[in-house]
Amino acid sequence: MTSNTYIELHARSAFSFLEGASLPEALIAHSAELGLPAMALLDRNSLSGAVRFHKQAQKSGMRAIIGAEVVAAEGFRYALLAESRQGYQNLCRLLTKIKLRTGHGDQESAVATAEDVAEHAAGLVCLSSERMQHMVDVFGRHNVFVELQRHCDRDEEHRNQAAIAMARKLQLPLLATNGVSHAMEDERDLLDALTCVRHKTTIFEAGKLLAKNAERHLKGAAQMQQLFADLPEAIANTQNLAARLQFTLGDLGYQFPAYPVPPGETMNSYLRQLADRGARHRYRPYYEKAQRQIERELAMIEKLDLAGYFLIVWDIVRFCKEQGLLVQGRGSAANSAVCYALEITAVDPVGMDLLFERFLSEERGEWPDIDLDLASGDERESAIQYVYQRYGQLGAAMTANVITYRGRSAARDMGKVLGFDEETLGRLAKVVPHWGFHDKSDTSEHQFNEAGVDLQQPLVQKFLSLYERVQDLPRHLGQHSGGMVICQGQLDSIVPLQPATMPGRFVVQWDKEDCADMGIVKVDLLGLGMMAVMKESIGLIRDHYGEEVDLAHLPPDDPQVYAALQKADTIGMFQVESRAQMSFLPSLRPQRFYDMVVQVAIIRPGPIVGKMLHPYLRRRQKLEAISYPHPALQPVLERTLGVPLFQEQLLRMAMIVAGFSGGQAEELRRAMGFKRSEKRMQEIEGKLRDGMARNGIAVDVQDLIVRSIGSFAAYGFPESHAASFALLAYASAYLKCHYLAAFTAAMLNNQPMGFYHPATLVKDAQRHGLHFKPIDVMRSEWNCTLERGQRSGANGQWLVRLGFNYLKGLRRDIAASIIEERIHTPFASIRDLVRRVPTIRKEELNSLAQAGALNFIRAEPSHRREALWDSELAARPVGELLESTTVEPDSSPLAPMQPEQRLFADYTSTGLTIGMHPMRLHREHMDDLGVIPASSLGRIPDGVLVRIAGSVICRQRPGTANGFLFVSLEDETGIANAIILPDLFTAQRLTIVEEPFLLIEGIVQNQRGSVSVKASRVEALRVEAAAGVSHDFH
Amino acid sequence: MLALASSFSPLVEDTAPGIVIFSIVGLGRLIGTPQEIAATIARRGAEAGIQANLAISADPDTAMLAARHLRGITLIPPDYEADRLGVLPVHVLPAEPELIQTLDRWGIHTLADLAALPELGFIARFGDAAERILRLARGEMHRSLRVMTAPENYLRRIELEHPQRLLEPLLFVISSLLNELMQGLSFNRVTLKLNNVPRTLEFPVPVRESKVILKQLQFDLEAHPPQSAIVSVELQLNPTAPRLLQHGLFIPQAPAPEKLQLTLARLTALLGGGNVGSPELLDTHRPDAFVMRAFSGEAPTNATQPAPIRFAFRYYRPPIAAQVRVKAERPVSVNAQPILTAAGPWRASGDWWTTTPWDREEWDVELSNGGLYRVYQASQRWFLEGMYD
Repeated sequence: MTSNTYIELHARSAFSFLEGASLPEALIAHSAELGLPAMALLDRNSLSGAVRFHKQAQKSGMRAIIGAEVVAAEGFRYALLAESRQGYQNLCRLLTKIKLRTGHGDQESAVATAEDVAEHAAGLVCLSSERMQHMVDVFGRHNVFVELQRHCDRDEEHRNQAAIAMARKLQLPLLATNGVSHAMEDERDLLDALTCVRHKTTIFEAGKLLAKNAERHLKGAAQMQQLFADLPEAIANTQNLAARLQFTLGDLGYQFPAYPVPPGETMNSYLRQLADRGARHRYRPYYEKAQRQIERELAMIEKLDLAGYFLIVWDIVRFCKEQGLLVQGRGSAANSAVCYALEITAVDPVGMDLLFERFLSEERGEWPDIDLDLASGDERESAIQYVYQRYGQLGAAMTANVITYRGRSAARDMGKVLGFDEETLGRLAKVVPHWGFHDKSDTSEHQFNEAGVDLQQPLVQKFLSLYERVQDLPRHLGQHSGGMVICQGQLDSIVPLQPATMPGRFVVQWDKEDCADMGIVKVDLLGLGMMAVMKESIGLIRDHYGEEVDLAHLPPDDPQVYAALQKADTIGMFQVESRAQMSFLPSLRPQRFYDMVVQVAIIRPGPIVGKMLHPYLRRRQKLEAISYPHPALQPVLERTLGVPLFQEQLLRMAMIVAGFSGGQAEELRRAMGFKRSEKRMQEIEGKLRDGMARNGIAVDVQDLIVRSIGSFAAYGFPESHAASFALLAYASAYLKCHYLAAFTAAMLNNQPMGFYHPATLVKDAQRHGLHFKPIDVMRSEWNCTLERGQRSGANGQWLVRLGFNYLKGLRRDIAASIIEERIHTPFASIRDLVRRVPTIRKEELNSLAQAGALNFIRAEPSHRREALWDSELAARPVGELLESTTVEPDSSPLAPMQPEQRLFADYTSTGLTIGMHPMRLHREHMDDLGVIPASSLGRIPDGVLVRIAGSVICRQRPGTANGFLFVSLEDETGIANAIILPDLFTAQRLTIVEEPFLLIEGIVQNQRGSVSVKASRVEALRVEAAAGVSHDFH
Repeated sequence: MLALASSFSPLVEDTAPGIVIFSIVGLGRLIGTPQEIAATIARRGAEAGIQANLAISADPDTAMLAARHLRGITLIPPDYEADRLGVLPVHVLPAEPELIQTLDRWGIHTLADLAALPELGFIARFGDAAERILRLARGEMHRSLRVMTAPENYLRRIELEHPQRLLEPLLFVISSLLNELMQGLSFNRVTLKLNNVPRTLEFPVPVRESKVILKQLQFDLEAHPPQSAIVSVELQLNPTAPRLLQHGLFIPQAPAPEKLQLTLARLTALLGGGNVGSPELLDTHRPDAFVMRAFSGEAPTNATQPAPIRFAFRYYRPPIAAQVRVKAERPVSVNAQPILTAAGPWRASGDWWTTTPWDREEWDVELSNGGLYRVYQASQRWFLEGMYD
């Protein structure tokens, strides 16, 4: 550090949420350009940007000093810097205290009292330009610096002079800072815009809330020295203070909690004992290969001192199992035989020959990642509760989710700032990219032109500039859905906590990447809708079919399951129901479990982009010979026909051809992965080539191997993860094929989930022979339930009664009252129902009548209009005088609904119909138009021009499909798929995106069982039924 | 349309914008059959450039529904109301949207469907409001017209016998018109048309005395005399509620608003519009940014807190262009006078979102003449902005 160096000790990043315009990385990058050796980040009441700041500084060879601005109850701010770990811990606790006191509602209003600050002052240095005596009293003379900022503002300089006079009087040191709010000078307009968002005003009305000038950017030593030429000690003190502030985030002092073990045991010995017991239960017999693997893993776990982590995850899983909660580990943990033995995961890595090093290796130096899937909803909630209870309220918390500005939010907020009216805002928000695909012409200009926004207008140009630059800046802190961090003792001394949405819950100020970067152990408790469906299905099967389904012991090669998969008859099945999955199933024709593992892994953006799909497919269809880049790789690539598909294969390839250790191989995967660094990649590629050369592999083969590894390193899927998901996929397929009623009821009860709207699930189940009964106040429960049907046979024996959960607008407590009342005495009439459930609202009653739920209330079934007639009278308040008189309802003069009207009423009141498909009513007209039913499409040869029509159940424009849009149309016979080319999409965007029913004309593409229509013409179809049952992916 | 209706009947109902209902009782003897009456009204309407539907019925609401929703001319003889209206959809009825939605759910789509509903059952479900629409659908409505009365008109006009060139006789004429119109009422606007050339004065407080208005008109006429001799005078006043004022016991007496108005009018006549009023600082960092608001005599409610005064500063308005010599990024002389000391730069910029952003750099300088001045540079040019006292 040279004597004339300046160090910026007061900078705010965008993590001050709307008070800073630059990301921490940008601040560091520009500081490095300016040659500053260190820098301090002081975000307002926040350490959310600290980890990113720290990591970026490490990369740039700078020292990141950590602190925060703490808002005082009196309105001023304490600018606090952590001098030591104690200071940092105090800062975390202080921020936690004020955040928790404020509660979830208004984090903006969190303030510290003088007592709060005094209690946590140790180890902190305070920069201040006012109330200096108070600061000295709180922090001690040695820890207070009089802060001077010069932004070329006359009033500010006046305050500076007063501060200097006071500093001289109290003999306090002066310190120059620039109170940085943005890295570059030209970011002042963005800061102004964010100021407007913060104050909920427009740029025209913000007045003096805006910056006076553009001086709050990062300045270099020369510029600061010039500004403080009259006070050189203020500059020199920045170095002196920085030299004192030795704390960095590298010195966090985090300790993973120790697991309490029985007396006489260590964590290692206890884990060994549990693993051994579990393995003997899992592996029958506990054969030698499994024993060797478990022993190897335990040795590594002991060496890395991770036994506590495994025990803690085991403990959560044990709790779930004791409580009867379904739980299954996913991700790379499924590579571990110890995890399998502890019943954390369900896939046998020894049997499947999975690679442990993908999960854990010595070289990685970070915690392994175990994600647990639980049934979403209450079950996941109880697991989270358990963790809180076990580790104390301040010992566990959810990780944060930093909500950043993206297309729509950026367009809305920046538009509002510039005073655009609601209509324009709506138009702008609509056109910003929300489909997965962005073609090259899809620049912001192009999109806004399309929305009819005149880009020549100066204000619109400003908007565009702000819109583009605000992307990715943090907007506020949310809560990650499942990530939990736990700590030995007080988590609030590691990172500030703040209240979560749910009372009694906390969120740390770091997101999960930050936590991982800081080596804080994380357990993801993820809610998976399909787990909830399975749990519920198993219960329904037990209660109605009288059979016990054990997911761990399903028949492995069920012919019905594979027949359904091969036909792509997979609506509702986990992971294999998407349009893309369906289109490949007939070609891949899964015949055994491992095919499912491949299927789950391969139909993803990565493999499609990496062009691995087609070589695999061609080889599978025997259109291409199976070959290997090198004979030594045959054992690794054999099961995927010579095409590397999984991350584990990449690791093994590197281990075989270049003699890499497991850890080195994992490093190679990461270097070639998403966060590519050219330098790092070249280094490791060099090592790979050296290793291959040592093994005598020729240069051209080396090239082939490097290419083959490189092409999928970024996108490959862990085989273990695919296997875990394939298990769920198989189980869901099995349940659907054998227990359709139970599976469908469970699917309907756990919405929203999966790929399709409930209306589509119902139609699909009906096509498979399942019968449904309507909502009925005399029979329905809140959830959809099973009732015994009239017919025999697997799918005829049980039918599904729709539950009150499908009646729009019916409150749950009203449904509960209806159910409770009818247990004692059935309702005699609608009037009787209203009398006994008096809190029911007229709209609820009407909705019930419209859905036909009141049809069976009388001895003689009535029609919906009769019920509507009666309910209108019953819902009218009756005075006390008339309460006792029983007025018999008059007979209805209304005509019954026509089929089309019933359909409309179904969609309006329940969002689905168990009656006929709307297209059935129009079949004659469709025949006249030459439209063929969906079920006939498979019989049309390739290349024939056809017309298909139906309700749009899915629109998808994946990022990997070069602008193609996939549309699925449903009619009464099934589903027909169409592909819309980019030009047609652009020409008819509104029709395609917004119309609920479409007629599409095009050429049939019928290849190896996968049938679709390549659209040449699209038109809206006017069908009288409710719209909006399409699941669009945007 | 009102004029057209009034030309046929004194019994006219101004029902709603674009809708007029009037009685044709008695027109039979003047014009003939209802068909002939309708044809006559339609012809006269067309001549007046009115494009409208026309319906004749015994009941005003029935006629209105028919005119609003059936094209051209509709004649509905008594007892045929339900027949003619039956085809109309129910949503044309003057009813709550909720009721219309219920009818829709019931499958009741037209007025004929509605008319067929049992009266007791329908009214039991929707109450009295339903009765009216049911009767309308059944052609059983009979209500009287709500005949409009002409509004009071505060306008007088005089054609002078001889062209008048002098102000005083003209004011005499205006004064007599004012006295005739005002009658002790309060007004807040006067429009005077001399030879059909209008001039309008607005008063911030209601005025009841004719001499106050006359005086203000006099100032205005003196400041802006008519271009030619006056042959016609038209005066129109806008009435308003009188001013109610409770004086506070401890509030200092302000000048009577009428007197204040007169004083302001005198000042405006003297200084020109835009130069009289209360200056209001704008909420911006731009120095010396203010607007002139009309002087009301009341204390501003949202006055910005004045900055603490360290030195009084005297603005030169407009600022004076200056020759400033700069050395090492600091000014060293102003208009060839050496600068003894300089403080700055003080920078401010703003309005970056407009087509006229501003950006300036100020210096406080002490010149050798002993004065303390502020100079600033904007758009590459230097100005002397003012001096400190």
